[in-house]
Amino acid sequence: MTDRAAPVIGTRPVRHDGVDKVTGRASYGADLAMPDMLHGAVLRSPHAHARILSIDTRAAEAMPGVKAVITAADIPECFATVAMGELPMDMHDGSDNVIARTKVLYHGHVVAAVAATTVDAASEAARRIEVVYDKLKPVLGIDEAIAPDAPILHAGLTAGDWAGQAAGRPTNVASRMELKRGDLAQGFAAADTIVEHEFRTTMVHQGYIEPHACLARYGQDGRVSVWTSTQGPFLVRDQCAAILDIDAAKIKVTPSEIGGGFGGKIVVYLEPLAIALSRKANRPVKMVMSRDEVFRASGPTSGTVIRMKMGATRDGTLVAASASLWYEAGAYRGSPAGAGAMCCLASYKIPNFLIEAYDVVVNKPKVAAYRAPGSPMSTFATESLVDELARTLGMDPIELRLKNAVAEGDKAPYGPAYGPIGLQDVLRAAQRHPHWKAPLGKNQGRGVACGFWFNGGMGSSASVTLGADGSAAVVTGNPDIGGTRVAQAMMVAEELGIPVERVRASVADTDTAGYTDLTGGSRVCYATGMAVIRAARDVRDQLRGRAAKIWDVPIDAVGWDAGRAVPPNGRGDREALTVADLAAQLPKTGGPIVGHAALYAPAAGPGFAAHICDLEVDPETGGSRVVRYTAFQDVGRAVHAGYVEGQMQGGVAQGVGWALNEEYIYADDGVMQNAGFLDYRMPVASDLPMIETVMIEVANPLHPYGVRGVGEVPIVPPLAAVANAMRDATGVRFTELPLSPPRVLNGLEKSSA
Amino acid sequence: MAKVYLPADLSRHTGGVEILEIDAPRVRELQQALAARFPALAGEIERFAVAVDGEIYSDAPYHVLTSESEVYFIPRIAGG
Amino acid sequence: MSRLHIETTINGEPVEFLCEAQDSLLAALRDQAGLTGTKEGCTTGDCGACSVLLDGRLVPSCLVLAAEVQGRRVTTIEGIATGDRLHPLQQRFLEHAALQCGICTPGFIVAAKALLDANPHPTEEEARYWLAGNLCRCTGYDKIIRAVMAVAND
Repeated sequence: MTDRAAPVIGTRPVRHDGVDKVTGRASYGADLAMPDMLHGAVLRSPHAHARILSIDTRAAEAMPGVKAVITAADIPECFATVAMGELPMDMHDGSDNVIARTKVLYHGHVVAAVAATTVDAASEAARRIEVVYDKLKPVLGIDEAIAPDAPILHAGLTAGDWAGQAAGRPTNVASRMELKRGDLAQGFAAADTIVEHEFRTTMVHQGYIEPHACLARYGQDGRVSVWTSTQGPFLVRDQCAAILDIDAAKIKVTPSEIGGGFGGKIVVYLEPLAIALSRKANRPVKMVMSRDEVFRASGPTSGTVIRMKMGATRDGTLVAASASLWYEAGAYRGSPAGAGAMCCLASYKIPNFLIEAYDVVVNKPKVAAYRAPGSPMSTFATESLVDELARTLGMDPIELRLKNAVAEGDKAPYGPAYGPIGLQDVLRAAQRHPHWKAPLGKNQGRGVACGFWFNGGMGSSASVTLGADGSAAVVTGNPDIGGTRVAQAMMVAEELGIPVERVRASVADTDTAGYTDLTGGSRVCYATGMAVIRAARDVRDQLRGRAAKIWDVPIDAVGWDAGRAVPPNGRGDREALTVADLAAQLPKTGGPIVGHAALYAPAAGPGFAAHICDLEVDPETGGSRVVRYTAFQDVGRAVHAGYVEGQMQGGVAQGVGWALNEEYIYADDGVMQNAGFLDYRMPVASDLPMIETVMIEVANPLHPYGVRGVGEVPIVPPLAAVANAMRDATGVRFTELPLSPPRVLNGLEKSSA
Repeated sequence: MAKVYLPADLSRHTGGVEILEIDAPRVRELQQALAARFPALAGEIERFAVAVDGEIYSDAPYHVLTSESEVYFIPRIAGG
Repeated sequence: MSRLHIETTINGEPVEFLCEAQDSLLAALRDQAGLTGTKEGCTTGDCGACSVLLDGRLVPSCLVLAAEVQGRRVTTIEGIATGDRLHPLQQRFLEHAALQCGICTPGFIVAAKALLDANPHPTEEEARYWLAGNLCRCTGYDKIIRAVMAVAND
């Protein structure tokens, strides 16, 4: 038993669900089976852009083992909007993405689905569905999409007022957004040095190792049960209700363990199909995506074209910045261009700027959120230019950043002043760290970059139940991707003064958990944690009430100290009562104790990070290797240090992959050429060194412990940290990612020519 | 009077007015007052998140305002 | 087409199952033998989530035909612990927080066991290269390697 006088927050207990995970007992989306279950398979469009002229499913329906075939005709056209927490989602687009109604908009777009007794029978039957298409020319990038004679994806998408003379005409540019401050012309006029580049990144995928999977059962009573791997069980419920026009109260979603999400398991793909098939076949239907399908037809993030210009005076003060951000939305509107615009200058005090951000539809899968959506790409541009400015001015790159770095009270580019934030602290920590001054070897270079993410708040519920033995159980509706259950158990242990081993944290389904917004947006430890703490405090107050009853004193006279109800002063005849003592007497003192909390947390605990990357480049092959990496981040308050470090290291690895190797490669016909892990090259263990993490804690005043979100910020700095290291190692400024060997070799050859 | 800051995408509809003072008990009445003064804002302003004294909310029409409140309208974004 | 009848040994126990000629060992383990601890990440042998030992040799079970295990010995994640005693690798993974979502963990533990069976005291570089066939998207590999090295150095 741990000594209860010692604080729990900041320790590193073994996670309670850990044994199941290391023994293979934990159940993920594809691990559940039901008696009588059918398997679902999907027919996907072979074309990147086409009109659907007809679909004939008769041959498929006649095949042995086939119990149901569906097309969009089986699902009502959807005009609903679903509140997704931070942004409402247009379900007309969402539903059309699940199964195409009149047009296919990307290679892999679902056209029909089959449920059969075996996976093979379902796939075979899907291949027998005859679809007649009218092929259209696909649009596969920003440049093509905005060209004057570009094929138009959506007939109803017309340019807004911002398009001037072209307003009202069909376009692939779904929206334009602008942020500005001061006077741009004056700002640049005052600059002694100006740098400007065009940056390009490609579509990349979150790369979660677990493909999407679900099992749905439509009961004869019209009640629907869905078991699925998701970041948001309530969002699955609400999206399916909207798409299928079913009362949400009739749908129960049970989240399985989830094998990675990073934002890609928020929007539904399979669940509505599985439910519709189950309804038609009158049996449960299981559907699992193949890896190929995950790449082609789930939700990667945007490729971008970013033109950015920055000006500084010779003492290193940033005076002006302008940027045009063009983000691919994929087949339907909704890229994170706006967030990219709001993040790219968030680290600096710049008195004059103008940023415009464009959301552009292209014939690729509809993009979904990917860890700090929008920020890595635009920050890549900013931090590369800041690096260039440092070189031009002969200034230390960290010193230049410190000179302009925001602090509490400075205004964010999107308006309000920052509360307490840790950017200057992380930059100073980086500057003081031995890594910054360590000698570099041959063909090695060093890059530094910083980054920002807002971190979300939103709604969460929690309940904490006390057992008769003095143990506690905490229940929320947030799937645990990164260790939030153990963090929640630690919070309850801290509040109640009981050992953390005596607290069980679990994730409940949409019928048994109070409503909670998704697991994502770096919000669970902050907002759901806040609800957990409040629910635990509710239990504690109720326990004080029970002690008051036992001692026959007013509740206000009962104190609380490290897991004990303490009698009022001068009552030496009464001994303090522990949680266990009180729990044993619950039936006598008023019955069970359950603590509740439900709240809506504001967003305002922004996160800043600074990373240092050492890269070794092989000039003969263009190949490169990260040889040392240190990540500095303001984490607010680390509840479980091990899992906070894990978030930092994981974000770094994804960012390094994005910078060096990951990209969606398309042929001219719009078919992805590298839809597998061999050629979509994510970092492996031999690609990376140990990733050192330095956590700085600047308490977030909105949270009782000072917690701020940590999960997303770490993916933001690596793109520029790596590119800046490449510049340092090779003398070449690369503005296009990934820095794969052929591109690097090409760049090296050009520069020596 | 709450001090209200409008981003570029809203000040486009106000003839460039970016900072205003509005007397309103809650965010909802503030939105209505703005739409009344600048009709082009109606339908637009509700699509923005709002930061009241540094706390950001996606959608908070009933958030109470004081005479010292600082209100920023901010584009809504989502995490992952 | 009639199915094949396979008799094999999984985690020390005799097991029989039926399968099609083209079924993978991965599918047979998960769907016929009820052993869902071995995971499917890609079915092309690139992610390592399906790692098992076949006669002690590390293989991706998605690239082994179910029929190939007739008369042979298979070890899956379910067979790594001894009764209720965790294997040191499992214990160290927990202590080092070497898992976040946990989907790659069974594959890593099986692969790491094969490493330590072949080379009880690998260097960090040897461990990283041996485990390069196992993808993890959550951890950046740092804590995984630390956990493996901790067992190696015990």
